Amino acid sequence: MKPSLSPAPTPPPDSSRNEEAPAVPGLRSWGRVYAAVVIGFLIGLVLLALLPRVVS
Amino acid sequence: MSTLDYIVLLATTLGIAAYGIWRTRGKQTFENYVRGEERVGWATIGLAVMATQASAITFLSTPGQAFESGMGFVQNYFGLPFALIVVSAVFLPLYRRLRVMTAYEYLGHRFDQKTRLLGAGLFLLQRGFASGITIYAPAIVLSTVFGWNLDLTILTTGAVAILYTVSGGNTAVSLTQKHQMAVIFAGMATAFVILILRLPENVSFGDALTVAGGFDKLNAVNLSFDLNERYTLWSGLLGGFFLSLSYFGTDQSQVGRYLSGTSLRESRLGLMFNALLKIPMQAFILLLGTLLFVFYQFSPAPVFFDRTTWQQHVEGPGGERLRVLEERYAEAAVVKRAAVQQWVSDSESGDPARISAARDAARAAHVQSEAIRAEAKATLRVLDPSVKTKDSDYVFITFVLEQLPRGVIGLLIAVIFAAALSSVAAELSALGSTTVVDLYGTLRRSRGGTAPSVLASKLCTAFWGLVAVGFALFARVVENLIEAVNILGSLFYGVILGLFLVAFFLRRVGGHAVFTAAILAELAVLTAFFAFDRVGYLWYNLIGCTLCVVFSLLLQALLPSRSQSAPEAAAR
Repeated sequence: MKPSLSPAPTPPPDSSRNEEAPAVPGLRSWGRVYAAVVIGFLIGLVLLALLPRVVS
Repeated sequence: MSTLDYIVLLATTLGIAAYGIWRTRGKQTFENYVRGEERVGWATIGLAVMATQASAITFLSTPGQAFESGMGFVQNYFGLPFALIVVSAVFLPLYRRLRVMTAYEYLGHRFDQKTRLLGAGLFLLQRGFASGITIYAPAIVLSTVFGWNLDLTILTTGAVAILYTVSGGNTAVSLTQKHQMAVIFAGMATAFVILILRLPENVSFGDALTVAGGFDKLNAVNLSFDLNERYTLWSGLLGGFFLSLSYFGTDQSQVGRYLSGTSLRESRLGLMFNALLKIPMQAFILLLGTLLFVFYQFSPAPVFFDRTTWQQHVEGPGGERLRVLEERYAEAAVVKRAAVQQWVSDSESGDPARISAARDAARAAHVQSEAIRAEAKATLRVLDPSVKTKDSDYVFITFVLEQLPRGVIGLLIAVIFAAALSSVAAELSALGSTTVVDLYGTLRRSRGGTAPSVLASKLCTAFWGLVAVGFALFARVVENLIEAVNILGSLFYGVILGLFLVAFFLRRVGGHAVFTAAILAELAVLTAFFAFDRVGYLWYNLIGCTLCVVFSLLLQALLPSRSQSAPEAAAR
């Protein structure tokens, strides 16, 4: 074991404790949030791209 | 500035710093000094992450950039939401599971101590320089405009940041950042409203956007594939993604912010807050700059926005030439103002041919006045080759001083100081934490000692504060401040990110391979930048990261038996 200032690795208190948990914890439940962020970005991108045409 | 402005400025700036010290008074442990008290909710994390990234440069330089070149700079941030999603989904859970205090501690778990030290060293090198620029940027502009002593301004800014960061550690940084962001939002919104109100009576907000669009200032999305163009959709998405992934995922000044969250959920929400709001915030600041451009189509603008420097040379030898140019510019501005007014009036006619002719006349008048402005800058350079002729950093501050009422000027200067202090404090806290945890702590442990003390952490933070102030006192060589910070980051961030991507996703690669690969990749990036410098700087993030990953795989294939490192299992 390499020297470390932290205690030994422990599971986070608030993440899934399921043994079968995916490699990326919480990805499934947070997928909708991430999808909403991507959709928000795409809407914003389209608005920014159209801005010069709208005001001309 | 009036007395009222100074009262607003000092009360806001010193009041928030004092609040940070007061709230974190009393006994501190090493862990809560470095990591924070872990009682921080998502809103505080979100605002702290935003405040750390948005330095004074953001509010001084960005409106000026839009004034000159339009809104294209917003593309720089297009990769940010995607990077934050990856940080939230992959980086954050691993950091929290291992309960690391710094991002580089994770490299120690996954590889070995030398790779951890390399990651920490690259961070300290680039962030140490950058923190100097973070202090210097507002100091140079404010000292020029107000006639303050530059060194004294740097020393005062540095001293306030050092005082509350050393006193309260990571918790003080997060607490003060929330209030500093409130000041920033209030100040910028006020400036925006006053700017709209200062437009001529017959010019509506819609007319202002039409004028901005007619001068190509609203072109925010550039689909060009030309690698030499600094801001395009593709460089923003790809280069910006890697820059943001490296910055938010591996830069301790940001990692320290979201690791202080009460839970994984709070930290994730704080990151998503930024994924949603960072681009609108930047777009808003750029729009402010674009509207400043419109405002100065109707109001007299100085031929050179750094008026102090201009005046010094007007009164010096050869000043007569500058005075003539100033008069010619004023005459051209009158012609341009009439042409733009005509265009706005004709816009209501609904006749496309008439509108088009009026717009072309306004654009021609603008080209003429810009030619005089360029001639004025060239003449200034001839008279004094050492003078910095890029005056875009002075555009917004000129508007603030000349157009805003008493008291509001103080609020806007407080915005600049709040932004500077929030970034500097987070940087100093991160530099101190990394030094004490990854360098000093590792050394102590290897010699059989115990964990470092709070005093050691405070001394390390104070040390980096002094280094940052030292750099600031000598940082007089950069032309555009915001770009200097981004270029510096891009030269190192790619390789640091490569280290972490190998750690997260390439389980077979061990410490020896990734360590050597990172050094080779960094040398390649620096050589490419200094010897060739052919591509936009955002691409260096992608290049550094890719080289680090590819070299790691190659070296691991060449040195399979020596490079495997045992601790990787512990890190998973």
